[in-house]
Amino acid sequence: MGLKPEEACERLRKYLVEVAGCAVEVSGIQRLSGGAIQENWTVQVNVADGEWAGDHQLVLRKDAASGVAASHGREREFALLKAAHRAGVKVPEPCFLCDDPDVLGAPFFLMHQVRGEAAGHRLIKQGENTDLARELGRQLARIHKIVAPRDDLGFLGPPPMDPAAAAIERYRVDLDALGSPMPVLEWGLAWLQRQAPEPDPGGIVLCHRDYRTGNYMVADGKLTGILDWEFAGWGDFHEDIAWFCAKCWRFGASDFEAGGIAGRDPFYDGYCEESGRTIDPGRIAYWEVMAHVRWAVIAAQQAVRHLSGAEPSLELALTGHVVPELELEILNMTKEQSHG
Amino acid sequence: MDDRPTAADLLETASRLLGDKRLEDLPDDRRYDALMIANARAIAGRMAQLDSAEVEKERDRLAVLMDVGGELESLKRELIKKIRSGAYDPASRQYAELWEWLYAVTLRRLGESNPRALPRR
Repeated sequence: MGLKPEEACERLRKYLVEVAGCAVEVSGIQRLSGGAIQENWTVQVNVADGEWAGDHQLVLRKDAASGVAASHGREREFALLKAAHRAGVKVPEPCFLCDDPDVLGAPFFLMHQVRGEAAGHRLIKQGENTDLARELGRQLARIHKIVAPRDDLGFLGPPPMDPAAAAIERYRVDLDALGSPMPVLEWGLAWLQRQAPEPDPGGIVLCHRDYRTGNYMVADGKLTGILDWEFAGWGDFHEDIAWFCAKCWRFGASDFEAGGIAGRDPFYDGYCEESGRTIDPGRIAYWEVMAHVRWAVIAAQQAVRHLSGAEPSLELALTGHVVPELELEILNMTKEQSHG
Repeated sequence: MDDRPTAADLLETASRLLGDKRLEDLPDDRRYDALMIANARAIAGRMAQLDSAEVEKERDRLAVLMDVGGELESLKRELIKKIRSGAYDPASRQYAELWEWLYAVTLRRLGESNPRALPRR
């Protein structure tokens, strides 16, 4: 974090002494892999007294030194994590937010570390897990109990009147910014515009927007935490369900349509039991097309991050080569009967 | 211009990442890098074999479909404007033909990027 680990430990210790109002020990700070926009570190903290008394194994999440994201990044993510935790969602328990960049060079927050495996390609190798799919359905329903207006989530802006139209508009702006024409994605967006469902104001909830295999932790076959809240926003609840089930997020386990871990039924059942909502298969099919378009737009943006020289990276370059597979799926899902 | 990183770019970036190290000398935590490099080289090899006549045929077919002339890049720019305006909706004469054109081009691109994902014949 631009600081030597010992210095970072000491600065963090002084900060926590002020927050906790008692003696604090900090040790064992170590960087975790991953995260271009933010850095993740593990750290052991012992608090002598009060509400936080005891030993804690924590994760410190901080904007990366390269400063791609605005300093609001961690503050917003912390607010989302707190809102989810209060709603009973299984997330790493958030502890403290420090918005003073002088402490560690950028705003950061601390949360409890959850154990387990998150990598999608390893999770799907563990085979079918209907209990996990049901639990993930339940957890998503809890996230979706968070609805606007919320003072603590004011930074998300007002909910869209028409989530589908807002998404189409956003991806067209993104495609224009790429600078290279992508006719298949335009074709997909034209289909999405023609087939857009009637807006349902009662269906607008807090969407996680990256709720998929790869973004939750599993230990001994059980869910331990839902991660990566930085894309969350107000939207149609079908969007998250479709993102989870979309073929592009099954890591090759295509027969297990719920994230490559199980069939849809246990996932849908868990969701419906917890939410009391009814899932509309037509809307799911619609948002699965949107999921492929969205992932293709993001993949093309990743390639541009590399090609522009902003962030030369083989991983980003290869992500650009995911696009044709997504495009083929979009074409297969959107072929209509011609009546011209 | 293609929207995806080119063969030359992939090979150059992969070589830069690998530096002068031999693959077998890489520690375990670089295995992911090694896999990416192998993938990049395979894609680059396939892209380098692309027959320019095939792309020329794609251009000719699109020019006929749209009934305009020009380079592939400018045709594609015109195409996306027309798709957005609704000119190639299912009610249009060219709807099915355009789907076929997009599908053929996508199959060609997928054959380069990830042939394992090609539909089984």
